[in-house]
This record gives sequence, C-alpha cells and structure tokens, in this order.
Amino acid sequence: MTPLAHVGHWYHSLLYAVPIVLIALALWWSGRRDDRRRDAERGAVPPQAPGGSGAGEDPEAGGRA
Amino acid sequence: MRKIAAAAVVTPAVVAAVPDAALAHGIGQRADLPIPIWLFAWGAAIVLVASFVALAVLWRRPVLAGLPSRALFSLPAVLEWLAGALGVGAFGVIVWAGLAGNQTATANLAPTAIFVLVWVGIPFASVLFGDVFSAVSPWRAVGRGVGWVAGRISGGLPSPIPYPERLGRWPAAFGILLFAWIELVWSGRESPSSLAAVALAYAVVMLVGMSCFGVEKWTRNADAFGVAFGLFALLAPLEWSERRCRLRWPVVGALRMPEVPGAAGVLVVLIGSTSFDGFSQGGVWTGASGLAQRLTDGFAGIGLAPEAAVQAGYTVGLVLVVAVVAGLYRVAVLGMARAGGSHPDAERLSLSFAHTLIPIAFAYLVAHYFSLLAFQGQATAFLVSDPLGNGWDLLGTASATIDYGILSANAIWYVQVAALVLGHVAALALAHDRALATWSDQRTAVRSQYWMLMVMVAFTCLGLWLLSAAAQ
Repeated sequence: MTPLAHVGHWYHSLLYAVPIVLIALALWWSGRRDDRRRDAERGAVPPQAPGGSGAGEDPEAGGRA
Repeated sequence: MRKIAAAAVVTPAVVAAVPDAALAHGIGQRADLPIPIWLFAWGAAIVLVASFVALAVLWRRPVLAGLPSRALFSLPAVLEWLAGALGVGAFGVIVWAGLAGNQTATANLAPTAIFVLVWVGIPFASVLFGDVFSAVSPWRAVGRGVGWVAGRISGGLPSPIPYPERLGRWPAAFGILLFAWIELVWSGRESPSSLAAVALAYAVVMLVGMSCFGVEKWTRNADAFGVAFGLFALLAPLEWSERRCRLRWPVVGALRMPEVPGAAGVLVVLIGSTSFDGFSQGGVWTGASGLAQRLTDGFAGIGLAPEAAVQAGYTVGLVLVVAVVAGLYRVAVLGMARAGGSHPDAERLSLSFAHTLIPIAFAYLVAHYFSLLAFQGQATAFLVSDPLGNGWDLLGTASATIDYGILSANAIWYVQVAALVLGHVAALALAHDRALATWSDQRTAVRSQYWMLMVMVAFTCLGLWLLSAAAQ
C-alpha cells in the first residue's frame, strides 16, 4: 500500500490526534462509570409497581448532583 | 454514546492522519522553533483541559450576561452618512480598478482590496472597534439613502415583504460558501475584471433583497459580509447602537448572537472554508497522488474539461471540509444533549451554543491570514496610489514596497498559536456560562461540557496541524 510505504512522511501527523483520542477515551471511561453507578443505584432501590420496563429512567438523570 | 464517541474520534483522526498541510497564504519563511510542532498541540490541549477544570471549579453560576457595560459617547448623524459615502466611494474605486485597470492581479487594487483588506482586514477592525462594516457597507448605505430620498419625495416606500423566518441566516451562510468558492476554487479569481463583475452582481443582489425585505432585515440575515463581520464585532469591547458607543467586556457580546436558523451554519462555513484554505495547501491535497489529483482524474473521467474537473475537485474538497467541521459541532451538540438528559433537545442546543463558535472562527482567521494581512496589507500603500496599475502615483506612495522583515516566522507562529489557544479558551468559557444558564444543576452543566471540551481540543489540534507544514 502506498500510504504505508510513505509512513515516514505522515506518522507524525497522528501525534496531533493523540490529545483528542485521550480525551475521547476519558469520556468513554467516564460514561461507563456513570452507567455502572446508575445501575448500582437502581439495584438498591426497591422494585417498582408492575408496568415499569425501564423506560422511565429520565428523572434520575439529574438526581445525583 | 458509543456512536458519538466513535464519530468524535474518527472525524478529527481521519483528518489528522494524513501528511502535512501548509499554511494558507503563508509567506516563504520557516520558523526555528525550540520544540516539535506537535508538542504545541499537546500543550494547547493541556491548557484547554486545565481551563475546563478551572471553569468547573471556580465558575459555578452564569455571570457573563450580568456583566456591566458603560456608556462612552455618541456620534453625530453626519458621520454615519460620511461613513456610508466612504463605503460607496471605496466600492466604486475597487470595481472601477477591476474593470478598467491592469489585469495583473498583484498590480491591481481590486484583488488585494477584496481578499485582504475587506475579507481579512475588516474582521480585525471589527474585533477591535465593533461593527465597522455596517457603517461603511456600500449596499446598506445605498439602500438607506434610497429609502430616505423616497421618503422625502413620495412620503415613503411600500412596506417590505415579511422576511421568511425559517430562512434565518442560511442565505448568508450560502453567500460565505460562495465567496470561499470564489477565493479558493474559481479559476477566475486572479482576474480583476472578473472579481469586479462578481462584486457588482453581489451588490445588485443585495439591493434587490433590501428592496423586497427591508434594509435592516436583509442586511442582518442575508448579506454574507454584513453577517460575518457583525458576528466578529460581537467579540469587540465596543458596542454600537443608534450611534451610541458603549464599553463592555470583550467576547461577552457573543451572548447576544440571535438564535435563528442558519446562525451556526454561518460559523461552520467560516471555520470550514478557512480550514480548507489551509488543507488545500498541503501535500495530502496537492501531492502527485493527492486527493486533488484523484478527484480531478475522476471528474475528467466522466467527461469534464480539465479546468472544470480541477474546479469540481476543489469544490468537493471545500464542501467536505465544511462538512467535517459541521460534524464536529454536531458531536458536541449530541454529547451535550445526552449529558443533559435530552432537555433541551439537540436542535435547541445547536442554536443556543452556536455563539461559542465565534471566537473559534476568529482564531482560525487570525491563524491562517495574519501573515497575509501583515505582509500583503502593506501593498495597499502603493495600490491606492496606483489603483489601476497603469503607472499613476496619486498619493506619492506608488514606489512603496512590502517589508517582509517586520515579522519573523517565529513571531508569526507564536501569534497563530496564541490566537488558537485564546480563541478556544474563550469558546470554552462562553459554553460553560451558557451551560450553567441552561441546566440548573451545576454538575449536569459541567458534564454537558465534556463533549464541548473534546471538540474544542479537536478544533485546536486541527488548526495547529493545518499550520504545521508552513512552520517547519
């Protein structure tokens, strides 16, 4: 492949993307942590009345300030 | 969330994972920098992250809207008329020079006046002194003058047609894209007479639009130059209203950007077209097997003439880079909407956070065109003395030359880096303040800005990457 043959010309361009990738990874990790915490909080709450299939999770989104 | 994350990583990474692109309009010097250029990108990213943390910790309620401003002075009405007359006169001279003068681009006033003094110089003046273009806009001056005369003669003009609110500022966004196409793609851009003809055609469109929809309504929404320069003026410490001048905090005026359809589109096109200007100077675009050549070959293969094929390829490139910038902003908006529990929704957030793009658009403009203004702007001295390029010396400055020694390559580089970093820090502050005003819960507001932070870092790294080849 021509691009690979010329890797010496462009590899350093990837260095400009490193901060973006690092922040994206941090965001992804933070999102997973929040999801886990939310799941744990749900598990600690007593079961709701029948009919709640998990669709009504919106109100607690801002409840952990 | 994963979809947004993937898009967020892929969009800038794809753009960055290609060979160096050169600075648009860079002057042929090379900076002698103490560290590799990519380290500047890392340093800029660290500054942005540190700024973000400081904002989150120290800035806990919206304050920008409540900052005071102070009345300074008022100007007499006659100055408004004089400024309008100056604008009409300057426009007339530029068009006349273009049509009747020497057709060598560097010898004629028209190309330098349009591409350097107006397109680059007025944004700098706007950020320093406020909305100077609305005072000197030739079509606005003619429109207002005609309205005034008609009012004196016949008691007034018929009421204008209501401007379609759904159209918003999209006509201005299209106009900026068209101007960028003329500047970066069109093969006739080197011809002063062609530029003058386009300028005349634009003025006619503006006058017709103003006569249909009213001077102020049309100027505020559809005049590409009026809208773009008016946005930059929102960053200025001087605010003008009805000839009264007020002093305010710099950048804070951005909060007053109208939240109308197309407002974000104008800024995305400004950033995207400037980015394409840099991108189109680099090896990945101009190389022997670069994207430009491949696109040109493709269009030639379907039967386009060589010149048309080149222009078609560049047109595709321009639109694609604008689309990449739009994609980055969309990532920030979708991320905010998700973090905020989809209330407000993404469309609402797209409008209410669009003002954060103003300092970025100006930072890109400074980074890409500062050296052009500093050097080619000096050509004004001899071009105004000999506007047609036929040997006149009206002001005695026709023998002036451009001094390329006034700024070193290093100085230019540091100005560019400082502009990019400061512009993005200002954008982060604007976004943080707006988030605090949007979500009452401070933690939600801060979380919503994670995505904005990433997009700001992406814009900064992209900007530095685009500049990198010129400084190496």
